[in-house]
Amino acid sequence: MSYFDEQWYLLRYPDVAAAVKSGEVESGLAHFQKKGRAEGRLSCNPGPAREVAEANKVVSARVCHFDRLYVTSAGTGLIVGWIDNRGDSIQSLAFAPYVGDPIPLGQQVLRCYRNDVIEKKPKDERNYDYGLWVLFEGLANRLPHLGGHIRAEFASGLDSEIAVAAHVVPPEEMRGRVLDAVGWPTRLPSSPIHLGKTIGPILRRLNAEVIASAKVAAPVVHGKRLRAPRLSIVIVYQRIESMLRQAALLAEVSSISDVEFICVCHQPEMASAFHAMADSAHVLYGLNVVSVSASNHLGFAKANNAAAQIAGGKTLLFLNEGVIPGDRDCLERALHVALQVGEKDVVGAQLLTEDNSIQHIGRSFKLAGCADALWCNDEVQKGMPVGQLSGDALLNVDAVTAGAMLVQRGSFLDLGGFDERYLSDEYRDSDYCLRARGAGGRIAVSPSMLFYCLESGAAFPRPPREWAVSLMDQVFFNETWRSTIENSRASTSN
Amino acid sequence: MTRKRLISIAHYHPELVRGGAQQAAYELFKGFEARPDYEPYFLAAVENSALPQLIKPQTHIFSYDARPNEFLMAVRGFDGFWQSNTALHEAGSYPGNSLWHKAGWSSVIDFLRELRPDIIHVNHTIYVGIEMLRAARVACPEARIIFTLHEFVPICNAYGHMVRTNHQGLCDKSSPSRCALCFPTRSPSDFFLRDRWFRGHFTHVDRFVAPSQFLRERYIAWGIPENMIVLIDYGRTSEGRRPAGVPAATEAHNRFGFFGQLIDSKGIGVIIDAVESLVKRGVEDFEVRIHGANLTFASEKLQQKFKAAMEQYRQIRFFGSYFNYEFPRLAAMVDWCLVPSIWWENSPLVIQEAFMARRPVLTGDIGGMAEKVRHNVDGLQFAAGDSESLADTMERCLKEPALWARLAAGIPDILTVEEAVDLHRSLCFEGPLPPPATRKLWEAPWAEKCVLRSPSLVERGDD
Repeated sequence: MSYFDEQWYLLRYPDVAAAVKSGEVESGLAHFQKKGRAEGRLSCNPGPAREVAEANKVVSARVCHFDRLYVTSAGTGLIVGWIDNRGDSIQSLAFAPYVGDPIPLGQQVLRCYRNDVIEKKPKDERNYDYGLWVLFEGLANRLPHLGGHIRAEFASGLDSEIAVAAHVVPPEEMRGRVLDAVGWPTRLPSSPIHLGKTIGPILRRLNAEVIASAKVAAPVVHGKRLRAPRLSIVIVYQRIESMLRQAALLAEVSSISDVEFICVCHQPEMASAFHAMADSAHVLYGLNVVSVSASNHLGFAKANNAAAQIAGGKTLLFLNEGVIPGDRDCLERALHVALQVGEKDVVGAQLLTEDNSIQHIGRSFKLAGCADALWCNDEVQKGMPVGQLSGDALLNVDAVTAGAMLVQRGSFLDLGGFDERYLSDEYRDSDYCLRARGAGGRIAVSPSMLFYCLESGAAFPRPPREWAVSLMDQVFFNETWRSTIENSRASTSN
Repeated sequence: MTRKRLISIAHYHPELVRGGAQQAAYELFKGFEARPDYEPYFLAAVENSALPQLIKPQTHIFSYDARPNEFLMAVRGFDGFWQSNTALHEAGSYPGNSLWHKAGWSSVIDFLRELRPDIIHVNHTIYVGIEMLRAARVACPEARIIFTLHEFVPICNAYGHMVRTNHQGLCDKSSPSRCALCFPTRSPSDFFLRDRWFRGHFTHVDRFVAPSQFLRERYIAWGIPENMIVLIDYGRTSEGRRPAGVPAATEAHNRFGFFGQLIDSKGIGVIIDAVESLVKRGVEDFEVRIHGANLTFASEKLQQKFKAAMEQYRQIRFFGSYFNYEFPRLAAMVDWCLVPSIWWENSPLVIQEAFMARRPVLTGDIGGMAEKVRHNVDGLQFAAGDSESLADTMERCLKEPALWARLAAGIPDILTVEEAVDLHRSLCFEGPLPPPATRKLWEAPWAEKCVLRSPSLVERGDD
């Protein structure tokens, strides 16, 4: 931390004083910051400066601290710390690795509350808990494991340079720490756009790195594999015990012996128990099951895509783990609809909640009521009494949920499947529907393809982490599809 | 002569864990054992954590005590909410795994296939697992599957008692939202799925048995078709039956007896409060003899209350636990039997046992209790859960000299095991079965709308 004495500087360096007088530079401080420091000029009287430097160390401890620097070998960095700059605002923040140029961090800084900081800082009436975290990239060629300095420059001219040691973590851990950080409480919520543009892309790249490292194990076939199943039902399980509940009821529907189930475990640590349960689903309930696990969390998109690769049927039905049949012929009707589905079409189901109100009967898009004006999913008629029960007519919609989605396998794979860059599963299905439509497919709902979809007790308000991830995906979705949606709206209104 | 093979499956063996449902199941099994045209088997669950010394390693079903027709099934994990034998799903890993051996349910299916029963009589889902119904159907597609309902576990997650957990009031119907109020950590969709999970398995039951009309009506209201559920009370052995006319224990008719588990739902607290009320009224010349066990399963509050009452009231005497065969002797020492349960009850065995001992019963005026005891005929009813009402009733017993003799004379004969066997044969095991319902038990109400049928289904004539 160095102290800058304007008056002393101008007296010490007459050339600078002359430059200030002529207007060539704004102030002694400006000169020091732009040139003087690099020229080796002193910022203040060395004698008293030494005392000031000692005092500054104390001040430094009160003003800012950086707890941790996490880095991955691919060059992603995460700084966690706190700053109390109410009396003196930060002008710039940068990370200077021991090797390579400094990386400016200004726009990447996100504020949060840190209750634990109160314990560390001396308590006084101005004390508060202003934390910060910064996610950044660019360390790959800078030997990230060596660490570096974090430089903060304040409006008064004070600057802080704090050495931080790097903790090298695998990408999965980094992703987990970033997801924790996005959930930290803030005084004011970050603008979704800001969150989406600063953190989103880095988090997506991190996520892709994690997913790429996950190895899908060889599928386990329980019983005999069907040669030509009429349908391949794909289900990704986050709660593996859901498989048994679904199996017990699906076992009661007609035509179940003609379909195969590709069940993917989304809890790698439960793989063994998952396969055992899949075996029960076959032994007890007669389902033709192929169970799949991976060495790491695949993400819902990749899990579904991997299952689609493995599936043997020409037609895929993606189902959510909370979907159960309401009557014995639901699958037969789904098979009938499957015969009508065109190569690139996407057909969704009518889903009901436990009180027989509509959980899903197609989606539209609407502008979210916020300043950033982002398009978001709009579940039409959700919560209304059950709609049309009869007839085979398909209803055109903008998108359908992957909770019950019928596609032709070949076309699904040709289109690239679900986009694995989405961090959650809130927009991946809408994204796929828009791609399919762009390729000439029809997006529709079949009201006769009817299931229950039981949503587990969703927390309200949503946990901050979940909300933040959803926002980032929403921003990403809008970056990709905003113009398509708006053009479509414009042509419809014309 | 070809003998019919019957396997009776219960959640406990009564010799290992005492209780009404398993006692009744076992006595019925013994009743069939006496018939030359039947070859019965008994399979009881045994908890690994409770009786680990009985569990044989690396097996799920094994014979019990060298008896050729009695078996135990090890329970190494159980989920009460789903009534699921979880360990049987986890056991055995999966094909391709180097440690693979058959999954637990495969072993159960193999056991049943080996046995080749004509009738599979399931008495409970606790510890056995509701999946047993499915396993039975897979193993023996042609066998009759009979299920005896002993309480309301499929309807109610609160121990099957249908007593609200929040205000402790009685409950008369279930719904996903209503049940979620009793269990705030569970959502309505959890209860909806639980309900469907039970119904899906019940689809494989050919006939249900209800030991009381009250229970039968509750399950009919829940959705079991009326022609699918028959009323057969518990049949009891001839042991302990005393002839009509046996005298009371005392001249003053002032001895009351409680026989059962010392847990909250059995109403021990109501007895203690009633004693307190009587003493306050100046009525002190009476005795309440308490016989039972499992006080440690009662709430902390009740345990404290019980211990304090033992010290405070000389009228209350605690005699500890007892075996079934001791009941006649113990009942002979009292004049009246108290059955003050605060839940509906089904068909309390203790009422039957009291009648067999020719003792009038004082019981709550709800559910199965009110069905089995006729007020002013063979016993007295009081307002269930109301200690003042019980105190009033007990005071009446003490102050009406002719009451005991009149009520004792009105006590009916209890169904014998032989009669129960005959009823099971005619109504469940051998007689014709009702035709299947148009809508399966698990299907939604809207499933009956034929408009849901697709053209392909119409073509194949399924309409």
